[in-house]
Parts: sequence; C-alpha cells; structure tokens
Amino acid sequence: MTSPSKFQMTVNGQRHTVEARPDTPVLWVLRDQLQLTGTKYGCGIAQCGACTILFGGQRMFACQLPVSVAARNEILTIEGLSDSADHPLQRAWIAEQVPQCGYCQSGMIMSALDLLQKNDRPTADEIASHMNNICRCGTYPRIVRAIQRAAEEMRA
Amino acid sequence: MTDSLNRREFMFGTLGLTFGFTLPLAGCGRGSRGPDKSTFVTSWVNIDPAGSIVILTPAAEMGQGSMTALPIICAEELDAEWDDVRIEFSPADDGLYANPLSWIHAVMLTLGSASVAGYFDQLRLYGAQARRVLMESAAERLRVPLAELSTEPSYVVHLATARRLSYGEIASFTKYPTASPQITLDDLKHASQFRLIGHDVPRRDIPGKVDGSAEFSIDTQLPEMLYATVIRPPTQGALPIEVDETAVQDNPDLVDVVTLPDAVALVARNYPAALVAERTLNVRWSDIGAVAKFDSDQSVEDHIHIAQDLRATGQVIQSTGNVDKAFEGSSKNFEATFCSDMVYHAHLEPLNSVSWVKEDGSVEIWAGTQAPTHLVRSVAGALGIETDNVVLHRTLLGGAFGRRGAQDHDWVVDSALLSKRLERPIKVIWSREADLRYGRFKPITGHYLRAAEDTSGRLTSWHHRVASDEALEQSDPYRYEKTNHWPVIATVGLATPYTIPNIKTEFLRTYTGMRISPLRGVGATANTFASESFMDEIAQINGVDPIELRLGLLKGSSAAQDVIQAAAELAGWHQRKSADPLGFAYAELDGTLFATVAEITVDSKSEDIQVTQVWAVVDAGIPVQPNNIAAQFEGAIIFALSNILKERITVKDGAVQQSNFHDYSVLRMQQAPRIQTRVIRNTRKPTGVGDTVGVSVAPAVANAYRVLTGRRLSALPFRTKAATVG
Repeated sequence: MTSPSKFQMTVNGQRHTVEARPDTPVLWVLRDQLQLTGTKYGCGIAQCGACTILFGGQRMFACQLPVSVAARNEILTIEGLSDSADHPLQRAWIAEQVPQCGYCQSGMIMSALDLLQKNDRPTADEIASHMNNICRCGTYPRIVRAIQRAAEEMRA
Repeated sequence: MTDSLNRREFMFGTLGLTFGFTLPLAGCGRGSRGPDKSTFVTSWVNIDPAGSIVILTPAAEMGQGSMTALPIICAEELDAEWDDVRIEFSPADDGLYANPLSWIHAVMLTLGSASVAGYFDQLRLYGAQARRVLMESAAERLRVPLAELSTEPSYVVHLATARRLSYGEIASFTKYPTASPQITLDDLKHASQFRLIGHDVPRRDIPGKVDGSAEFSIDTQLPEMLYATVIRPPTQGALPIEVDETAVQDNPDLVDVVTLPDAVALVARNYPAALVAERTLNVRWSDIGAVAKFDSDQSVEDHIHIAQDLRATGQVIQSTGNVDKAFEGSSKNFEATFCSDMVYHAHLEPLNSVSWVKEDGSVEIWAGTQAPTHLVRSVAGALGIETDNVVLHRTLLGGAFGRRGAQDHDWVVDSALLSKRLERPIKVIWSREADLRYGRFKPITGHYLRAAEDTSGRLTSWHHRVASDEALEQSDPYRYEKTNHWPVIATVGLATPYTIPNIKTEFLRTYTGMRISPLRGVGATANTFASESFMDEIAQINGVDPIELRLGLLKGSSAAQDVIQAAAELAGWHQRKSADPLGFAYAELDGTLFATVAEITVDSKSEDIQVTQVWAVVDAGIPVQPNNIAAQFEGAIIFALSNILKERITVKDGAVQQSNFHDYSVLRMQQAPRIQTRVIRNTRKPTGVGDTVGVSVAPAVANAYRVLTGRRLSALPFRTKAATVG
C-alpha cells in the first residue's frame, strides 16, 4: 500500500493541503477532512450519483476521483454553489418542494448544474437522459420541473 | 408495515383518552431541556420569552414530511404564528410519544403510514390545551374573564380593551394548572377555520437538503473518531469462526479487526481504508444447515403450491358467508395464482451510526431510526447498561422504507460495541455491498385466488389465499409478541373492499429462515397486485369494463365511487379506445382510498414494459399537507414501479446474488412515467399515505399489459418473457 502524501486541492474557491494516500477517493477527503458533508456516499462504484461534484466545471463522481489528481482542476461541491443557498437551482428545488429524504439531492443539483451549463433550455427528455442519478424516494417528476424553472430564471 | 389490527378499537380508545399536560420533560435526546422559570415547557410545546415556539415532533423524518406535518397540526390549535415555530425531534420516550394508533404495544414507531393519522387528534388536543393554559394565565394577568379572551397567531387578545399579550410574554409568568385543561375534540376548530392544515406549508427540512447542510447520521463528525465497516456472513445466521488477517496486514490505516457476535468489523483511521480491507479479509463462517441451501426461485414455487393446496387451511383473516358452498352452486368459476419475489430497501444512505462510549460506561449515539426507543433498549442491552445511560441524537434518515425500524438496530449496536472496545468515538458505515448482501428483504409470497359467479353473472364468491413468511417476527419480535403473533405485515391489504356475498381470505404461514422485513407497502403490494389483477381478469374474461365491474361491487361506498370516478376522469378512461393499453386498479387500506390508471408500451424486441403515464387519485381524509401528499404519491408510484419492473433479490445456496446498484437496478429518471395525481379534499380525520400509497400501481400496470398483449402477468417483478396466464 502506498504511503500518504500531501496534495493540493482547490475546493469551492479555497486552496487546501490534505494528507492522504494517493488512491483515496476525493469523496472521503471532502467529507472527513474538509467537513464538506453535503457530498454523499451511496454506492462507491459510480452508479448512484450521490457523490456528484463538478471537477473543472464537469460533473464527476467523487467516489471515482483519486486525490492524487484532484489538484489538476477546481472542485465545486454543493456547499460552494452559492453563499446563502440562493442559486437558481436551489431556489427552484425549494419552490417545487423537491427533496423527500434528501440524501441524493446534492448530487442531483450538481448534476443539474452540469446540464444547464451545456443546455440552457433542456426538454423533459433531455433532462431525463442526463440526470442518471438514483433517487430512491422518487422525486424525479419534481426534479424535471425544478430544472426547467431554474433554466428559465437563469436565461432571464 | 401497517398496523391494521382492530381499527375500530383504536378509534374508540383514542377518543376515550385524556391527554396529560406533562411537565417537565422526561427522557433523553436532542429535544430535552430542563424546566426554566421564564420558559413555558411541556412535553410537546416549549415557548421562550422571546416568543420562539418549539414544537416537538415524535416521528422520524425519512422523506415523508411528517417532521413538518405533525407540528402544523399542533400549531393550528395552539394558534401559533408559523414563523415563530421551530421544530425539534422529541426525546425517545414511549410513555409520552408513542403513536396512539400503536396502543397495543405503545412503542414509538414511524411506519405504516401512521404518523399523521395516529397523532392527529392528540396533537390538536395538545395544541388546544397549551393555548388554554396561556389564555388562563393571560386572564389572570389582565384581570378579565377567560371568556373575553381570544387568540390571534402567537398572541392572546382582549378585544374590549385592545390589549394583547404575546405568547412569549405569557411564557415568563405562566401558571401551570394542576390538571390538564378539559378539552374535547368538539371544542376544536372546524376544518373551515384551519389556516395551516390543508394550506401547503413549505417543508422545514427542505432548505437544508438543497445546500448540503442537512445532517444525516453519516455526516456526524467527532474528535478522535475512527471509522469502520462490517462483514456479515454470505448466508443468514452464520457466525464468524475464523478470521485470517493476512491479506489486510499491510493496510497501515487499519486499526483493528474485531470479531463481533455476528459479524467482523474493520476499524480504520479513515473509511476508505476500512473499505479496502473489507474486500480482502478472509472470514470462515459456521455452517448453518438448511438455510445454506435456500434457493429463492424454488421458494417462490413452493409458496405458490402452498397457496394452491386447499387441503391445508390457513389463518382466516376475513370471512363472510360460505365460500365453499358458493363454489358448489356456481355457474362459472375463475382461478389464478400469483407470486412475488424478494426486494431490497435500497435506502440511499447506507446503514450507519456513530457511537461514543464514555469512561463512565454511558453512550451517546447519533443515528437515524424509525424506532428510537427500540434503539435505546437494544444498545443498552448490548452494552449491559441502563437505558438512562443511552443518549440518542436523532438525525434525519436518508431513506428507510422499513429497514431502519428493525428492533435490534444491528447497524447501531455495531458502533456501540466497537466504541466500547476501542474507547473512541466510532462511525460504522455498512458499505453498500454489506448493506445489500445482509439486507432484510420483502418476503416472498404465493397467492391463490378463486371466484365464482351465478347465472346472472353476479360475483357470489371470492377466495384469496396468501402464503408468506411473516416479517414482523424477525424485524420486531417485541411487537410480534404483543400482537399475539398476528401476521400484521403479510396480511395488509388481503381483505377485499368489495361487497361479495361469500368472502374468505386466508394466510398460510411459511418459515423460510431468510432475513425479511417490512418494506414500503410490503404485504399490501403483493396482496393488492394479486387481488386487483384477478378482479381485472374476471372483467376481461367477461368482457366487462373493469371500472364498471368495481363500481358495481362498491355501491355502498360513495367515497370509493368518487375516487374511482375521479381517476377515470383524470385518465380520460371513458374516452379511451378498447385497444388503448390502459389498466386500472383500486385499493383501500386503513381508511385511505386509492385508484390508479396506468398506460404502457412494450418494446417489441426486448419485451420490456415502459410505463408512459400514471394517473392516480387518493382520498386520505383531511389532507394536512396536500402538496406533500402529492409528492408522496409520485414517489410511491415510482418506488412501486421500480419494485415491479427492475428489482429482484435472488438467493442461491443461501447467499444473496446481488451486491450493489450495478446488479440490483432501481428505476432512474429516464424510465419514470409522466404522473398526474389528484388529492381529494375530504373532511374525515386524516388516514395514511406515505407507506402504502403506491400499492395499486403494480396491478394497474399488469392490467394494461393484459389489454395490450392478452397475457396476464402473474409474478412480481414482471418477467414479460416468461409471462403466463395465471
């Protein structure tokens, strides 16, 4: 097993130096070292999307991103999306009363952000094919509405 | 998951209770605060001089929204300004906070769609009592008769002199009565006076769930904390007899390998190191005999045969007239078999807990649970300490669906035992693989149904036999004993709502040895699938409109007629063409009425079913939070579709064959249908929604499939390629 090293990371605009083994998934560094617990563990195998973050502006499963390459790009987590939970996506999520248990929703919102950066007017089908994260409570219909609501606000 | 025992007795018992105005607070946990002279403190409502009103909520918040819905009910009668209200979880205390519906065992439980239904009257009465006490204190201070006072949100008002006292001001001089104020349900607001109930108050848990600040137990961080995962046996009930640590010895972050009574734990300085070790550790498990040969496919077949074999009589759940005699004199008979497989909860937050055993032997726990007092008792038992020495911090639950209600709280006892041994705070997270492989699944069921009609085509006889293991015996032995071994999980939804002269429904108990559990909608999902598919089959064979057939059998219930007609209207049922792939199903559970129409397509190559649209109507009495009921409905429809289209746990040689979401698929957004719901605004006392609201989805889809293909789906989850007429 490799020994721990120091790694630089930029998370939500802040520089951090963390000590971890190079293959440590960024998910656990975010959660347990940087106390950014909004990014969730759900499966550990790139299936559920609960750990979705943006890495260099693109969505990424934090459970699959080794800390050794984290320095290459900036990381954005749910905590960095806005200063006071007022990003259009967050406001839309509240307006549509999307979350139920809420465990998947950080990943959903980050995945939605990735979509809206590429497509500012997504159809319901485009949303459904992009948003592959699992929500066990079944909030999918409200997520579609919330993304379209946020998209409208962001275009305005 | 539904306690449907003696519903009438529950109602009667509830109405006959007087609710104590208890102070000071007893119990433990986050909601506790000591009495303070300047603070109004009761077991449900605390008001401080600044006017902040804390309402305690007994129910777990696992997504269903009762963390907001229950305080709304109390605030309505308290006449509290909603913005002044803060919500806290109540302590774990059965005496104060058990759901009145669960009087038979009096355990705090959040399950079976029971929270709003069960606490509704109690919370209204408590709110009204608290308001009365505040008014009495104000009357004395203002030297006016009580009758001249009224309230406006968070104020007591004396209109004649235009004087007002805020609840906060009164809190500093409240005189507590020696006995509870005598208030009855008749003294409470009429539904037309509600300003919170029925008015869609935004859920209080939602803001924290969009910015990452919501705290689940998995997010708990303590100084010096260690992390662990657990390995449990591949076959149920095996015990660890030998642990070979060779493969994990080069893992420098691994702190300890601990053999627990029924598992092996890997304790590490960080969680990924524990996960790495989990994959490589070698454990030899004891041989546990017959269970090691369990084969789920075979078991499904066995269950069908048991249900079919009329020589064995089951436990009779519902009996009217004489079914056997009716079959002898019938002119036409129908029969069919159905079955359902095991399903995994797949709560997205894997089971986890944090424990911190202190030097004095007491323990602090952070956990999400549907049964907080069971948790406290289980942990106290495992550590050999008094329950008073267990402090539970109740967190939000990242999904539960019945799994986090298991009496033994295996996922919490793990961390308590490890913390005691390592003398450090410990966070145990079951890896997804551990969580799934050692899941507690929805039990297998087999169903046999037969019906008879007379020469005029009138249904004269209905007989439904279900063979199943009973999940409550394992998941909650305490309740199982208290309810006299009544098969409360397996028989939910077995009783038919239809008026038929001769009815018999029977339960045939099986003993599989598998770890089984209540799971959202559990018995009702399978029982309703079988009975509503069968009812549809009768309609199809007779060439009768399936909705007309049901309406004819529900003539005595105007509520049922309304719900069914509303669903038909919503779906445009009467405008459909006969070949349109629409299916209908109806169900009644604990006073809640559901009607569902599903539209499907079938892929010509793969034969996969795609559900394109669902229209669904529910009547659950007074809708406390209508938009939240709609959300529960949408979610339950998707949960049910996921169960029936995607999910299947298979067991070979006693071992679960799936391990994570790559081989245990759940429904994703692309497969979700368009959903239109309607929540009927009735004025009956509220009944349940969250657990059971999806139960009519499976038969609605199966019935649409029958219209489209002429074939009857008889197994859950659907296997279209092997589909046969039952």
